[in-house]
Amino acid sequence: MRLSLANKLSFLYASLIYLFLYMPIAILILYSFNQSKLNAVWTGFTFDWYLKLMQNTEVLEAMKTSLVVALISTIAATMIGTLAAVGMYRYQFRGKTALDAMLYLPIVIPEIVMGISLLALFSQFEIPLGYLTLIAAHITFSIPFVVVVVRARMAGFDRSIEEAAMDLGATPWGTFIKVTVPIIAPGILASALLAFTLSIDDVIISFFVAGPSSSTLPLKIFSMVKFGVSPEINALSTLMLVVTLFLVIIAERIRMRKN
Amino acid sequence: MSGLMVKLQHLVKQFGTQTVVQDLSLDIEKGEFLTLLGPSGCGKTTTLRMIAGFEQPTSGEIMLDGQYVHNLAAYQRDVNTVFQSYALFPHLTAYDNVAFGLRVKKVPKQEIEKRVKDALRLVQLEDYARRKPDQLSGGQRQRIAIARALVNNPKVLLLDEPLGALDQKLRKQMQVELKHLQKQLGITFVFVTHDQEEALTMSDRIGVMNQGFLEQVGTPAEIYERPSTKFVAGFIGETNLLHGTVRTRDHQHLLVECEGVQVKAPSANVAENESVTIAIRPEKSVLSLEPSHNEQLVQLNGRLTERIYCGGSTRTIVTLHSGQTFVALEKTDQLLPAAVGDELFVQWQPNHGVVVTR
Repeated sequence: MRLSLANKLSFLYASLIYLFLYMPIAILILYSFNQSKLNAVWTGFTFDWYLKLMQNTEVLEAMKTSLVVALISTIAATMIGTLAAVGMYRYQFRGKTALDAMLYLPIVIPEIVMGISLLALFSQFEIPLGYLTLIAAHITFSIPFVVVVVRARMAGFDRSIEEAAMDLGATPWGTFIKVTVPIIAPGILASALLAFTLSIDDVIISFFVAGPSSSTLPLKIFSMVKFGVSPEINALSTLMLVVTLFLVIIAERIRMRKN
Repeated sequence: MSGLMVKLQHLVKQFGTQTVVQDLSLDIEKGEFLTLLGPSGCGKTTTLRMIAGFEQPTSGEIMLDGQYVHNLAAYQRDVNTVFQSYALFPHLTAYDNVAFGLRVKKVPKQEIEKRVKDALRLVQLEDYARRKPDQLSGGQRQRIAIARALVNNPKVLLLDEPLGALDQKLRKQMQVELKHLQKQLGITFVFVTHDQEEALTMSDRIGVMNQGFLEQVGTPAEIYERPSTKFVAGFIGETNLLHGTVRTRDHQHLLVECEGVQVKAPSANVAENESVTIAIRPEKSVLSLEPSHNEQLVQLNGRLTERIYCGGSTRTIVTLHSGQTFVALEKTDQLLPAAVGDELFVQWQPNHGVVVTR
């Protein structure tokens, strides 16, 4: 089959776009397997950097912090965000439009502003920086995302299904647990995975609110980079990338399947 | 099977500044099939939702089997609803949908199994117990919704336009089945519909609603033969409405002047010079090419303007000399030999007219 010039050009164009998007990541992954300490010359394949990473106690400690913070903040943000989404879906009240918009607003607030304001708040109330502040901050920036995802799931929800449950004798709480939650579960799960990846990834806000003893993995990477980008960092970044990608793919699949 | 099951007393429902149900009072007997009929937005569904407990009346009282229930939540009332959208739980099988109410009420396991099976048998869907709602057809979903409500042995079953989403044939079939079910179980049905034919064929009594008011309550025959308001006359079936003023009255008849013509109508509780409307059903009138000399007949003349073929019958539209159109029903195989534009006479017995004042 012969391609016309226009087809060739559009193929070239599309290829360049994808190259532009994925080349940096490909290079990072590639060099995480490079024997040389320099990120410029390819000298041979090795798993050394990954092994070295596993022996680095500071990195492991940061990884643990990241996981703990992500887990707790995800659970809390998912619960709060889901209830907010259900409430906003179900009830009509004065000022709803404004309150609804204010739920989403934090998504567009610059992260650095958010980080500084949280730091200001914590120092105002003399809360020592550490796990507590880190978790609180992560819950704060995750909630709007949870609300967005759960609300989208609720959009096609037939209100009379809840009425049917109550009609059959279920209390409002029973209705929520036995009917509403199972139906919107894919949305809740997807939002939880999103919140988890957001928390695992976050640098800027964490930078402001993490204490000396509660450095997260991205913060650790950030501080390691100050001494130059080593293959060890490439390996760590690759691992983070894989984990994040994995979670996002699961979240998307759940969302797609149920819609 | 007698006694009062539902008593609605001066029910009013307002949404903001809009009054959707206005001072509605209605008694529903035990075992009765009562239909609330009206155009969309007339307040019939809101009334049903107030009985179910999904809406709180702005004022007024609801009594269910001798107890006031208007302050109880939906889940505390002994009524069940079949929703227009069926509202089946999409994540549960047909069996679990039907069992939902019994499980909530913590009925013993063996009893649940027996009752659910009985309910599924009642709606002829025993073989579909393991299916999810999205694997069932519209008609099957409908039956599951009915089984899910009936399995709880409610005092009253509320049905909110349950047949609206079905095609014509299935609809007719379900009408018959629902009616049989109701007779067989003896449960009080409150049925909401905008389909007058459905109301006429299924109900023991019909309550016709319009703009929040309950216009008339009566048996299908009463509603059809003796509508008490213009709205009821016009909404139930097809009707010709002649507006006029009462000229004379005696104990048997009224003489009403309609657009210059004297029309005889049955006696009614009206005064002389009062404005009234005479309603005549198309099938009660006869067309004729010649004027009748029978003094007892009401007779108006006009021109044939259109004939609409409706299978066994034909709707013949006559433009009266006053300019008003009049619809008559002819048997298609016995059509009057007249063509469009021909002069003819519309005749009917005076007591086939119904006099309404509002």
